[in-house]
Amino acid sequence: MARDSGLAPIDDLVESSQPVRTALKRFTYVLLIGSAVGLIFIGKIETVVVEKIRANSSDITAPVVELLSAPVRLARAGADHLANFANLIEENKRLEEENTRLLQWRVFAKKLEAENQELKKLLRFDPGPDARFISARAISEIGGTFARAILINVGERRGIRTGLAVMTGEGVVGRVINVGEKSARVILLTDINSRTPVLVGEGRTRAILEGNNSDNPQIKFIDNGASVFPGDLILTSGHGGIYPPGLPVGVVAGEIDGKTMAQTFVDWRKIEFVRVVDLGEGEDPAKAGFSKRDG
Amino acid sequence: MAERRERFSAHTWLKVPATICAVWLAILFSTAPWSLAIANLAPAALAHCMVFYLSLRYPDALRPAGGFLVGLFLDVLTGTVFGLGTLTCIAMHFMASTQRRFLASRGIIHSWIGLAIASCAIAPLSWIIASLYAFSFQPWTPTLAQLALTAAIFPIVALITEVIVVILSVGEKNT
Repeated sequence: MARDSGLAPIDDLVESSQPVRTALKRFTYVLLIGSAVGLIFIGKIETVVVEKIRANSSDITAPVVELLSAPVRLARAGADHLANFANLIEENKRLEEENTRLLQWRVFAKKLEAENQELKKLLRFDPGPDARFISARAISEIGGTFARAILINVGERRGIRTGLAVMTGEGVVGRVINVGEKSARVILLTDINSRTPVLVGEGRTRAILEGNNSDNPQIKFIDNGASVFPGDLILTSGHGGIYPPGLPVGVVAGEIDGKTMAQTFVDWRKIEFVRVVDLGEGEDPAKAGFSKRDG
Repeated sequence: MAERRERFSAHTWLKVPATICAVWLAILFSTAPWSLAIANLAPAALAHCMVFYLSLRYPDALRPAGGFLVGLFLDVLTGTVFGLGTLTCIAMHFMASTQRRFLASRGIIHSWIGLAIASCAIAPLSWIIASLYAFSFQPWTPTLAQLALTAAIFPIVALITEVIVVILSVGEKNT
């Protein structure tokens, strides 16, 4: 009966085409998985092209992310306000104590600065070019399972270039690895691919700060096996020409499982505003002085 | 028959890009500065959950090519190995499609278990590829954290995805 109405042959056709459809579906997956593997190879070989694509896409997505993250920023600010409000009395007491201590340090710093200037004059010391700071906002965390990075809302238009150091008020955050017109990607010090030449402690011991995708990078290759102690200050050394010398990074945190770990000054959960340090085109950061000139 | 095919065709053409755009927006939202230790893992975890759920429950709304595009977006957006997000998303889509007959008609708990199994298969794969890519052993803790996060957020992501599907009116649930 059904065959008489002419529907059965279509049903038969559909039924008989099922294995073909399954095969086609499997072929689609094979094709797409092959394409994904191809993309991995392209990513390895054509890094410049991939970075260009990422930079351009960042320019497109940055305004959308900024818009979407507005409620998150608002909620975070609200939560911070509430937390601060709860600790207002304690915080005030702490700040008063800190202020007294800093005033004492200010007098000492002024004296040292004057002495430093005099000695520089005597030695005819050339401090090198002044650093220019470009302020930016961290608009998103774009790391991934095996990477730690942020997106900032300034790019080529504001003079950002690949390789520039990025800081918060506390210390070094990382460096620019990818620049679009209106946005830039910053690889964090904690990224597993990050290697930062540093000087540790009063003895200015050379070492390498190596990211490990955790909040506490590891201090490796300590010069001549010199000893470093918890609390020792870590500054960028300027070697390798990536970071200018003398930028504050953090302190030695101590040893964990035989590894010397660092405690960075930057709170990785609270990166909101950053400053990009520009020493000028073609300047070797290692030779440049780190005197401040906001721009 | 022709009318039915035409309606289906128009519907398909609308729902596929709408779903992909919604997933893209959700991934973008997940990159907001959340001030959480695991924030860098969120975009991939969210993408995997959404691809798995849509592939399982609404296969017409997110076809294999859609899963590919979601992964590609993840790769372009984040700083991870280029192509790895695409591969893991398409693998997630494939695994959901192979389990569809068994899981689609059952409750969210079964889907959750299915996702956890799929994630357990994908996590070592992504670790191996990332290690081969860098010519060095990558730390395995982020991979485990990624796996845990993906499994942990699945019910809430499934709920959000369901809401998105209802808003977009794109779903023809596969049961």
